[in-house]
Amino acid sequence: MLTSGVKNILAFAFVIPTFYFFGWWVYWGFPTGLTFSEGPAGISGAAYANAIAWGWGESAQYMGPNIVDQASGVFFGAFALFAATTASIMSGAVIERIQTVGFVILAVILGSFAWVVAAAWGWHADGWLVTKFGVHDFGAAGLVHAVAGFFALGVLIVLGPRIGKFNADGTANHIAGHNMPLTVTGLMLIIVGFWGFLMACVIVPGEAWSWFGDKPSTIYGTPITLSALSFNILMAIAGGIIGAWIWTKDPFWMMSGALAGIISCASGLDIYFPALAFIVAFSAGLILRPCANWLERRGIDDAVGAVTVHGTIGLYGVIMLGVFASGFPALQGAAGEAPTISFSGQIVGAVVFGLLGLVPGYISAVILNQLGMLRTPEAAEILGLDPTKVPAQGYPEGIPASLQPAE
Amino acid sequence: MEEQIVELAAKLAVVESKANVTNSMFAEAFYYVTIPLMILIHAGFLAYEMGASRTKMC
Repeated sequence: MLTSGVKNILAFAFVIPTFYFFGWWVYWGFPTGLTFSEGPAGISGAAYANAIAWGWGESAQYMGPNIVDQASGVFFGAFALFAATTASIMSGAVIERIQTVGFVILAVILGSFAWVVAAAWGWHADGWLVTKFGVHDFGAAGLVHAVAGFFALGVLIVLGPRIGKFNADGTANHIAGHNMPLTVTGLMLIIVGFWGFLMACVIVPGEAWSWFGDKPSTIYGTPITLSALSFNILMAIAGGIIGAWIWTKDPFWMMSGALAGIISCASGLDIYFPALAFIVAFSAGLILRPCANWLERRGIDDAVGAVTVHGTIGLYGVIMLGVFASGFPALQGAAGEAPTISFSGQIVGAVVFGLLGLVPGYISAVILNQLGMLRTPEAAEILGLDPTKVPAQGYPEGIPASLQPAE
Repeated sequence: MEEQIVELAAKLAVVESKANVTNSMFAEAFYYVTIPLMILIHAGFLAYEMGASRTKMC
């Protein structure tokens, strides 16, 4: 149990410096694709990234304390947290049987590379998904959540289920965690943190790269306000909770529904009207458990439903925007010239995001597995990983059993 | 008349400069605050994962 916590925090700890060393460069260098050429807005390509994103040489002035630069560090910081969060999404799915070192390597690949490529392509004014296909994903439902969810799926396919999860006839056993109150409170904290994440998706005036000097915008330069976010995020949380509760009555799935609600609306939090956000989120809450069960019937042991909440619902959110917002501008520009959102464009984005997660996740897991660095030995898994991996005990005095039935 | 214009131009330059400082301080503080909020996500993930794991004491 402490092993899970330790690996979760190590993911955060290793993604930060790796994002500093190369992840930041990937965001600025990759938007136009593998040519690394400069994009139409002039803020991408290998030359641009070389000038601002290495922590040494000429670009070091933008990568550390600098009294005349009040923007680079906080923007980097927000992105680095995005990277760490993306890597963390994989963390819950693989508990109780993944090796810590192998996991950290996977987390770095996901957090400092895979999602960053998706962001460069679909969450950057010069990104080719945006300029050529009008892909619009305001709150990173596809490029963070779907990439992470499908990366986790790629890993899970190779990693295999926990011992005891599936019976010989293929039916699944429910493996309960030891502390539902902690889990549900943790999910509520994630909802708090989401507001910071979505705040960081807004480009405010006051920096050299601000789209406007007098109003906020999305990363694409299209309109957004914190007011719009307040209306829509609240409705999305509520819709997701209610949809999931109606279907499952279960506290874990109810809180996962809150996440699913936000993720299903994230792509269009800038465009949806609050009532629509509620309905989309409600639908995501309803389909959540059925989608998770579908995956489980295929032999995938996702301990926390991460592939469903983030992967499936992330793509659902990207595609829903294509259903409801076709014709809206995807990027700031002159009418008739700026790319617009379309259903087919969102499908293209969804496919690319899914593959950017699944392919690196699967290949990396296969390689690590070949090297014997992926799965813990069976004997260790049966004993529990804490005795061998962690010098501390979670509950040295034991956990008291209750005599009264729970409220 | 001329001196008034020069004086006003100088004052305007000061006001513009202050406005720019306000804007950049706001932008910096805005993104800075998102960082601890996002770290709360990690506190949440940590609690979530530990709660979802079994304690196996041998």
